[in-house]
Amino acid sequence: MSSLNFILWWGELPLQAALLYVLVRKRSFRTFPWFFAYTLFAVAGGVSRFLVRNHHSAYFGVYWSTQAVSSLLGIAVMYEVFRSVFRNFSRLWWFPPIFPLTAVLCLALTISRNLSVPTGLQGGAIAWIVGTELGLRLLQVAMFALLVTMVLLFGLRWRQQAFGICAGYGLHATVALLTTTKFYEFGTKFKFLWGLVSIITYSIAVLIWLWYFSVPVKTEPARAEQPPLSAQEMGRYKEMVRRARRP
Amino acid sequence: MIVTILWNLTITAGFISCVVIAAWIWFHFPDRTADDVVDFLLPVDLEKVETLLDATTENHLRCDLSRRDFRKMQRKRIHLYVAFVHRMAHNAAVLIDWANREAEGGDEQAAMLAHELQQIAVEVRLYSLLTMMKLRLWLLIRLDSWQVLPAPSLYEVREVGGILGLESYDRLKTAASFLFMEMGKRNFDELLHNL
Repeated sequence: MSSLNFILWWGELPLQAALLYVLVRKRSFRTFPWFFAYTLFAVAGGVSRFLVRNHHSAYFGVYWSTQAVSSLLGIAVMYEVFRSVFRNFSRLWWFPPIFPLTAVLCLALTISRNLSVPTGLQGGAIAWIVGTELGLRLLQVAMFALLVTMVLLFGLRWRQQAFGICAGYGLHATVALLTTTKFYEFGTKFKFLWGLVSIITYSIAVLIWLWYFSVPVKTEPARAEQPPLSAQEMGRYKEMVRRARRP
Repeated sequence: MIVTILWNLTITAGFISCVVIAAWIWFHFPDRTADDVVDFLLPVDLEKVETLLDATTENHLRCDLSRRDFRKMQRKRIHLYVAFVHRMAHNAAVLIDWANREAEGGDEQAAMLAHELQQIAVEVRLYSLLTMMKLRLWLLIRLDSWQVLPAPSLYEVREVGGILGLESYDRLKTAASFLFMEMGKRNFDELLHNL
């Protein structure tokens, strides 16, 4: 492996470690515990992979097991982002089921695609892991598209950290989905190129996360369960406004 | 076939989202302060809105006018309500933008009020968009002309998606006034007139 390739393949590890440092320093594990767990696991998994990189069978085992856990953590992170961004909508009865419904639809679409397009994997655990990962990528892209639509329609704050998490995942997942799809179509002809593109976009995603978590963000005050501005408060506010308007 | 189309559509949606968000960040109104609110608002006459949504007024019209005239009138009333809801949606977007900015500011009290305003404004915007979709669909399929079906009632859109439109807009006005006052602005009359 040339030094350039070495940097490209393993360059994300120090970036991820820097992100972990920022998350610990900013105490972001309180606001995004699942994203913190995901980053912590990504660093631990990356170090493990790096240590066994010259032992083929050990690398194979470590790679796929870390990939499986990381996919499951990724789903938890997406749910965390969904809850954080859309808390304004939580009182509407029809909004909370959107995430589970999207997840189920993505899962169904992934299963249907895996059945119609053979992956070349001989079944077993790896096929399941690849399937779950594809489903997760699809979910991440769908969530990203949903979030962007919400930003446009409702003016949600794009500078909030949850949006940064989703944007990073969204960018990486879109490219990863495309490369995986093209990998199926063109076979191993562009294997190296697809892998490289995927790694570069993941590094960009980590840089996006680093930026979002490095920039100081004002934490939102805890919200009460009751609707905003109760009738009593509203009356008080109206009275104050009325008094202020008097010459 | 359908699976492949949906799969490719999702990937395309991902790429379009990346481009759209980049464009949105680039062209977005920079740092909307309390000074950039009043002039951007479009006045909504809540008394007229109340009359449009009032079931009694609608029943009176139904009784006083012929069936054909009532349907024609109802189509005009739907158009008028669409115009009002469009203004409500626009005002909510301006206020969300302002509230987003104030929520990130240093003043604790103002940030709390900004969060409240943000929450109510999102509610109003959601109501407005859902109502516009519903009313435009009515206008598209010309629901008012279908003699076999009862003429569409505007009273039905008083509450859409679990949100009471008029009440939410009233709360929005109050929350905006209060934040305006917190920011040390004294031109309430202009704000309330334009909102």
